[in-house]
Amino acid sequence: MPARPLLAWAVAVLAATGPALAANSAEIVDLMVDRYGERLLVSFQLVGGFDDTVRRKIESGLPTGFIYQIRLERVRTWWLNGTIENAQLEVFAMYNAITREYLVNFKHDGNLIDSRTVKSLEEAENAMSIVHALPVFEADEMPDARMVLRVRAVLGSRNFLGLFPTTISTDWAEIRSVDEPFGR
Amino acid sequence: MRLSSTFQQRLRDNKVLFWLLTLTLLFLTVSYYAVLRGRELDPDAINNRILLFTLRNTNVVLVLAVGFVLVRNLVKLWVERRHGQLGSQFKTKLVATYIGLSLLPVLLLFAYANRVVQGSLDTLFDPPGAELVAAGNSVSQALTLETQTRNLRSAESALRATRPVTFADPEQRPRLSRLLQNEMRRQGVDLLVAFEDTEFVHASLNPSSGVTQLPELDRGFLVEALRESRSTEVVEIPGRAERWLLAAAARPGEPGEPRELIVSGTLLAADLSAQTELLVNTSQANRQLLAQEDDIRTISLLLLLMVTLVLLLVCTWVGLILARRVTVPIEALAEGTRRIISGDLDHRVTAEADDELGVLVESFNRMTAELQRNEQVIAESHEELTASNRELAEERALIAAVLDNVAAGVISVDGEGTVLTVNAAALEMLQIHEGQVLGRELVDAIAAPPQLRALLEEALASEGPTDQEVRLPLGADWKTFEVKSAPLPGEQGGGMVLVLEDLTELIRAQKLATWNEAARRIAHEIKNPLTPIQLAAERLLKRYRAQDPNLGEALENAVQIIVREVATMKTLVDEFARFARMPRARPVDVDLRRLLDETVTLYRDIKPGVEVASCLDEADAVASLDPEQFRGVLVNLLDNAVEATPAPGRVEVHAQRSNGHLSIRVSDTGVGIPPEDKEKLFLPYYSTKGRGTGLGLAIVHRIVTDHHGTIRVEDNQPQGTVFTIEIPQS
Repeated sequence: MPARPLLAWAVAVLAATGPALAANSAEIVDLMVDRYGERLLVSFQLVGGFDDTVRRKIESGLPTGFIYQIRLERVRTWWLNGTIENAQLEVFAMYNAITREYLVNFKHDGNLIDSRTVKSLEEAENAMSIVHALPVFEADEMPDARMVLRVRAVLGSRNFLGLFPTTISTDWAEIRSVDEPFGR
Repeated sequence: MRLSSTFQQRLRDNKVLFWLLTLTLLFLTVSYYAVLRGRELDPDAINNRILLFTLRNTNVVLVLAVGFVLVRNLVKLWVERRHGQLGSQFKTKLVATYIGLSLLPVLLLFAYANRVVQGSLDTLFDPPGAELVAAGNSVSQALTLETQTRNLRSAESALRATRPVTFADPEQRPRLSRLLQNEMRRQGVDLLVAFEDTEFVHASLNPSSGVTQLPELDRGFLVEALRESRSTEVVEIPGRAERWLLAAAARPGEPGEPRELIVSGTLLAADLSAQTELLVNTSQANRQLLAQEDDIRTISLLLLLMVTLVLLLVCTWVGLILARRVTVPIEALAEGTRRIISGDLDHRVTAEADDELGVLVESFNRMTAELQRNEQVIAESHEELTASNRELAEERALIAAVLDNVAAGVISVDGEGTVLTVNAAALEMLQIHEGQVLGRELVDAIAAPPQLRALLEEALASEGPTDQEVRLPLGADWKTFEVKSAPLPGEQGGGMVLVLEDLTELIRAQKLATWNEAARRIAHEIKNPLTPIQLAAERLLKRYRAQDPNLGEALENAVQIIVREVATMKTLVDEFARFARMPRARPVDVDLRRLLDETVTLYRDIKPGVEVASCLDEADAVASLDPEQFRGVLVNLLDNAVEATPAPGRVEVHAQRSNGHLSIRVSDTGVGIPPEDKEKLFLPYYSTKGRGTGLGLAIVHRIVTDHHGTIRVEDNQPQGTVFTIEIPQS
């Protein structure tokens, strides 16, 4: 049997029966929270989120990107933390081979908030990896309690055991308020 | 009703099959179309994880469905075989055959189709000319890059040429325009635009380019040029195929101060632009396909697997349905056979089938119905037979009770003479036990004396009824029996019933009565002569006392009367003495014809007008008789017959032998005998003639009885009387 059908068989078997692989070594670093007026600004950077497969996919012109999940939780000592608010930032890049430009779109909770055109893949990666001062939550609605802000990047999806769709994501990165809520 | 349910069941089955096959065909068509269109699908659609999820889970559901159908049926077969259900082995073979026949081609088809699809995908991911497209794309990119480089040099050259001019000064705009026009012609570009920071100052456009409008420059492009001192951009012209290749160069300056910037542009011709775009797009499409190769191959494989599983499910299902169509009637027939064997004739096979199995089911049900009808008939016959047997038993019990209580002895024998029944009276008469005779031949069982044995044998041999008397020594006494025999109706082989009646007491009473009558008659006969004698003596005494002179004459008359009457008395006493002293018969072989002829000759012509004749069937007949006594019998009978027959008349003596008997009939055409006289005819001293002793027929009866024979008197037809004598002949 030729090599490609064998590869296809192997892919099919793995896709159908194999467990979901753990996420790669990507991680969220430099997580910071600031306040600007009545809003909380979140900054962080995704490290290791790009490999050859992702780059090849971006350069082929396919929409490729990540989803950053941002979660604000109330800290509980003797129980699970309670979720206060959720936010989601989708970052997708598309390469235009005619103009040789990379269009990077940013959607906050489904709303397009920014669109950038860069000339190189490196610039596109930086644009997709570095989030700076993203206004996510209303600071005046924060409860008077200790909180933790958590961020992770969803890099893609797989099917667990070949059946159940699961996400490939980084671990949660978090930052806690020590004595008072964020922004006080 | 049954036909209707059969039709509806068949219709349901056919509907299921129809929709199953229709949906399968529809699904296969859509799947095939999807596989063929896979290479043309929008990358976004192919990249959709939902599609993969749907396909994978559809396949899983199909696998589970196929597995469920297979496992369910295999488990059912295993359970049926384990319980030894009839038809399970055949069903197992049939189902295995159907599943095998469906699995093998489907799997082969899947392997072949997968090879074809993967080959097709190989071609898709490595299309012919892909390298040429890549090379063309590289050339296109190089051309673009070269053009952009030339534009950048033009922009920098224009910056140097316009150094003496201040872009912000409106007074110097004509000079700026001339410089830009000269530089545009010198550099061979189609556009030169001067900016003060991002503010437009002046533009020079090559009129030979055919473009009359300036390109819409992106502010970001200008900002980047100001920040990086240079920048490039490709701008499409709305509504036209041409495209601007632009490059910008900014004059160095102090931060915060306005900077001068010139954009140089070259118009890419429409055909060149289109071909370049085609090369780029084709190359990008190839790269997108390669980037999604794993997903596309997986989707293709899953689609094919889904088609295969659907086919497998349908084939398995159809196979099982077809197998069930065969096995269900056979199982029903087997179950029906078992129920019929166990006696449940009400059971009917209800399995639906319209082929030979249907004929078999119908035949089986007809056979069962026939068996049920036959069993019903047998049951009814059994009931009738039981009732008949009960009635027969009751009748038999009644007859047995009657027979046990009647005075006559009754014995029934079969055609072989074996005793079937014997009643108590017969046992008592014959002084035997029941066990001695039942099941044994009668003549051997009762140790009968020769005369009874002969009589029984004669009765058994006779086809018709017989009636005979026999005198037997039983114990210290002699007993007289009347033995009557009659054939048993319906008895196979000629059975017979014998009735024995003990006549000893009756005969003894008859004899006593006879002797009483004889004594009365003798007294009467003796008294008759005594009266004249008494009268003669008294008259003689009277004349003697009267000294009758005629005493002598009177004496003579009286003596004559006395002598005559004494003579009469003497004759009477002699006849009685002769009857009483009649010797026992001594049978010898006698020429019967001669005996008849000699006797009949005596009476021929004795009475004018009365013909006397004899007839003997056999020419040379010899009979065992006492000739003297039998001559007397014939004389007595002929004498009475001739006397009773008025002229013209006929008296005939007819003798014949049959069945061991000698039969002699003496018939006349006379006046006949009244019925009331027939019963007393053979009694001594009974006479209808008013004369004679009345002992003639009594002597005849005595002689015949001594010969072990019988005599009876009957009316002759059309008139007269017949005396029939039957003498057994050994």
